[in-house]
Amino acid sequence: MTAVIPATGGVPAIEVARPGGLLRTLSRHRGFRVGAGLAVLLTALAVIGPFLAHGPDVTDYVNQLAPPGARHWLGTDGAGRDEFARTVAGARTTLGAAVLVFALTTVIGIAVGTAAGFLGGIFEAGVSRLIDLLLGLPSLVLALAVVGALGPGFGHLILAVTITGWAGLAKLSRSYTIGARQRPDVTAARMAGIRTSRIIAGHVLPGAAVQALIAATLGLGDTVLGLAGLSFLGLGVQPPAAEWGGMLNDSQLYDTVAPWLVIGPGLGIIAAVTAATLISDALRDSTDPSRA
Amino acid sequence: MTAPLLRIRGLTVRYSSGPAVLDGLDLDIGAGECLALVGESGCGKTTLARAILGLLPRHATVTGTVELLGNDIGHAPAKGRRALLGTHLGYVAQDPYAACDPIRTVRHHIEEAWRAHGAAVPPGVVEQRMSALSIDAAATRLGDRPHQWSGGMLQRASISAATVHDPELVLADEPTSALDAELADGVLHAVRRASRSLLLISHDLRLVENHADRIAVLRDGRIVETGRTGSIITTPRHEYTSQLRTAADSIRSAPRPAADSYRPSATPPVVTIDRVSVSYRSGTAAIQALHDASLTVHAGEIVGIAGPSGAGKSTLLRIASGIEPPESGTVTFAGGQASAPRGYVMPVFQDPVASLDRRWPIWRSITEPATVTARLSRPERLRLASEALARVRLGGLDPHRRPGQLSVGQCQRVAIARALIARPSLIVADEPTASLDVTTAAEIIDLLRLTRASGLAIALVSHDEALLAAVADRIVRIRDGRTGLSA
Repeated sequence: MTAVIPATGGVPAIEVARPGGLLRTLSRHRGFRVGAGLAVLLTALAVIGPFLAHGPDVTDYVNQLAPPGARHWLGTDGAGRDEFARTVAGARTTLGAAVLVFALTTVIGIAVGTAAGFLGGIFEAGVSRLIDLLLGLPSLVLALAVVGALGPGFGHLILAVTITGWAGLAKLSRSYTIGARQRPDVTAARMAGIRTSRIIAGHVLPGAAVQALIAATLGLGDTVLGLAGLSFLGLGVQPPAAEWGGMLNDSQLYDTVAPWLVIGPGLGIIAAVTAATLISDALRDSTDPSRA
Repeated sequence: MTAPLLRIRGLTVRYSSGPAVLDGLDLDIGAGECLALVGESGCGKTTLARAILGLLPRHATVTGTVELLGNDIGHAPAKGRRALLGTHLGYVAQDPYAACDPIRTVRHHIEEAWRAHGAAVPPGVVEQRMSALSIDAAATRLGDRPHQWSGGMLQRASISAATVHDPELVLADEPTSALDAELADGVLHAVRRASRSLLLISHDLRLVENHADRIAVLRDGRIVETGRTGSIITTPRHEYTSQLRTAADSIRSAPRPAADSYRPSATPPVVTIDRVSVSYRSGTAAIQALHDASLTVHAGEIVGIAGPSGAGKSTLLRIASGIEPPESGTVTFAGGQASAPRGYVMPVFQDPVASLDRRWPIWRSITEPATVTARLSRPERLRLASEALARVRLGGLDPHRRPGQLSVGQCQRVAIARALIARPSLIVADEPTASLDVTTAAEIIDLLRLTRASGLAIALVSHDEALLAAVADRIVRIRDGRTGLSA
């Protein structure tokens, strides 16, 4: 007898959709606390940092490549610019770009995926092939190609990373929607005569959005790395504007005489990626029913 | 009575820190006896089966004793318990398909009983046992995989597997709940004949009364009444036993509505399905779900649609709902329209909890159909929802609750309230009581009967013919996608 007793009755397993439930679970997750702490720290640095430091583009030719000290906390670079001020300014650029890409990819991904899943037909077939095509190409190479074609620049960088980032989320939202289309509550709404747009907005989008947002958070660390990587290659923000990837590239010139130049942008990238990874791990843990 | 075969004293089980699922339960089964343990879902039946089999999850705390042939199996080490249970206890599970490995043959499952005891399989015995359980062409069919057998046949095969080593006691946990009604009696008969003593767990008092010597009624983890079958059926001492009986009865043999209250031909048809065919593509094969099926539902009548699973019942219902167009044939609504007007047909589903948006408070789900034609403010919708809840006898329920906070039966009432608010002419109900226990199912059926009074037609799909016979004005049988004669 290999039978397992089916779990009818017995253990009460009622899923209660109580508002704030996810936040409460998250707040008990140790990884989330650390990640959220880091994220708050980075955000605070980006917001109030400029009031603490000198301007990021102020050159001080007397103090070129100065080591860290009381006057310049992280030293100065080859043009005598304060490294701390540039790290803080870079936080604004890099984190701002990452948030912008996050917002664009989730909005586009959810909208396209949900529409394709609900409308079906030729539109769905076309969107699905496009998604498969984009997912089949290595994203960094594709982003390189886009920036290469359009020319370097902050806007083009965002565009390139967005183009490669929305496809996965669209695929996720599409399959969620296809499942939701068969749901009894959606059938009931259709039979009652509710307009398709209202069914999507009321019954499908909330669930699809939660799922896509969690997935997008999982990719946030990669986005930060990708943005910094492209800037490191000189394809992103153009000098003299401060950006972590670009700053790391600059520091290469002086890595024997002023190795401290990697500290600011390096720590910044590590902290941002760590925060994103910890938060997304916590989200995945808290929403995975098998771990509850 | 000699010393009991199975002796349970003061058995209390709780999961984590929750309330006691079994609460000081005492139970005896004598040699050669068939005891039926009856109760609604959630009363602790399955927990008792798990406790006897030693399959309770780790987080369960157990007190009290379970003795089989005088050996305490509750506190025995795992190995000793397995040896004891393997020799003296046979187990028949609820769902035979779930109990079988889909990639092994049926023969493998039966022969496993010998192999588990280290014995060689005597030639010809398996075939003989199958023939004894009236399974034809046993020799060839034993090589089939479990899914190629019908539920009734497979359940008889698993009864055979459980009784191969002639155990002192057989434990059967709802052995017929996955089967069609007409098969249930035969399977119970088979399990009774194959076992020396039997503990039969069921939710259906009526079903077990022909088979059990004694009946114990379980409620909230306690035995409320136990006695010989005859006396339990004729003179139940506990009020709850009578309730269980009335519930089972009202589903099976409720009085039909008086003949003069209803004349189908006198009322106009709400939907007419004429020689409709539908096929689905499954891989490379096409499945003909409906084949020239016809059905007319008149205003104010309850039409039962009966047939085995896979016969096309649900497809016929979707055609009647107007949410799926037919491949050939015609469907006309409201006397002449080719498509159903908004809210003309409303559904009630098999899984009540899933039929409501789990993110929405129930007032939003209930009043959604009303927002099609009018813009309603939140207070208006709340008021409408409270009225609708009162109509389905849930007057005291807070409309701000979400489906997850309601019982399954309450969810089904909410779904009916949502259907009614659209002021439909036809309600299509696909197995609306299949996930409910007997008492709740009877209440839902009552409710559907009441709503019919206002001229509403109901198309009711069920595999339970007894239930249909009790509620429906007429029954349409469907088999292999073809509608048969009305009864």
